[in-house]
Amino acid sequence: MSRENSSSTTRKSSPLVLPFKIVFSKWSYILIAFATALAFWIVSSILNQLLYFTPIVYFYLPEDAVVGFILAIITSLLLGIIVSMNIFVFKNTRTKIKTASFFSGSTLGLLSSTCASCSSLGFLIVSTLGAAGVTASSFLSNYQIPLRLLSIGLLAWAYYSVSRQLMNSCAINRKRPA
Amino acid sequence: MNHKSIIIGLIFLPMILSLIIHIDAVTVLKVAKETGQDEMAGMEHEENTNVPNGFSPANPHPNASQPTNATIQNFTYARLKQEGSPVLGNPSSPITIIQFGDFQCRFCGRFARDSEPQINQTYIQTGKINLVFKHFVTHGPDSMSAAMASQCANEQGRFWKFYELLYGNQGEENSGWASVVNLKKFASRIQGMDMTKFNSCVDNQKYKSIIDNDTAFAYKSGFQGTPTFIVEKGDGSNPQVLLGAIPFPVFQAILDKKISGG
Repeated sequence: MSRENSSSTTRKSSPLVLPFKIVFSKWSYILIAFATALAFWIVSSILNQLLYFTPIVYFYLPEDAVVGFILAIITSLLLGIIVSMNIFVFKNTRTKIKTASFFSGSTLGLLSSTCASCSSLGFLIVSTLGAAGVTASSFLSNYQIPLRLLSIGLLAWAYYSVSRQLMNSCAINRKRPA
Repeated sequence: MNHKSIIIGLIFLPMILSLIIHIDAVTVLKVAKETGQDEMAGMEHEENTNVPNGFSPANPHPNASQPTNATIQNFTYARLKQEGSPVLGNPSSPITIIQFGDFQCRFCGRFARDSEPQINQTYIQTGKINLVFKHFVTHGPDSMSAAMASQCANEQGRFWKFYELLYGNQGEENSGWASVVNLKKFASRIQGMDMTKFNSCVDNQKYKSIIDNDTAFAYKSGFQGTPTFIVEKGDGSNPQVLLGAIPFPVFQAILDKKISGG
């Protein structure tokens, strides 16, 4: 691609798309994103009791889990993309990585993957907080879908944030004298 | 192949794979349901009407922090039935499944709606296994009411109808769907239920001690969630503890191995 074409693409691409194109023009980042997304999807599916490995490998999707499953795929993909982009930022720029929204989004995504009250997580909350724990655990279980949407929102913000970081670092680099 | 198509391919690959797996899983479930439900249509759940006056805790050492394997092995079908636990199936079946559940637990509901009917049709109705329900109340006050009401239904030999009704109409935890008033409404939908007797039983919390003992045992056994299952031989030996809304094919693999002596 010639220099002119490249700058024309840069001008045409949205500030959210260009960093994506830059990062995922390399195979290694695509692989990192894919591996991260797959790992998160597996963990999320195990927590939601959809995926079993013993005594047979089996995945199933009951009616009550369809919406959560779709949201888990979106969360996994976003997570994979953001992890890759953060690694790119870490390796190629001098800017400090902002991980607050990424970590809060991924943690919330993982926490809301399961029925909190049915799992050891709920037991831990109830045994630690007593009656308040029952309320907290019920909250996590009852608002699983809104919490997952919130986690997607946080991850979307993390994507926006890392894209801006990349664009800003590029802008700074462009202004630097050769 | 340019990068754009590779990226798009990799993004959509997990989705496509998931969709294929989903279609496969749904097909498996549909086939199983179709074959199961038709044959189940005329079948009635066998009910336990034997309710003892008292209940001795399964754990003979209530102060012990951890039960021994021997404690779980004491859970024979005959003993559980005598203690007032709802039972389903042939008493002389070689394998017993003991389910520890909570009526507000979403995963228990998933098991009751998806796996239990298939287990019932394949193993219980054919006399290969029997199923016992024990209470593990962990989801708050409405769970306790629901558990006590279910024991009142058991008193009239209608536990499993009540079980189906509650899990089939599960609402959000502690939102009131399993309040005492609603539990009485659910019970009134069961044919042949003596509502005067049922209401009195619920209001007097007649079976609270059974629920407390079951739950205390589950905690002392170190069970980490609901539903928890003990799959054991009919004499209570060789217990295996399982956790979660285990789908039928996974349960089938476990049960077949157990039946063949594994």
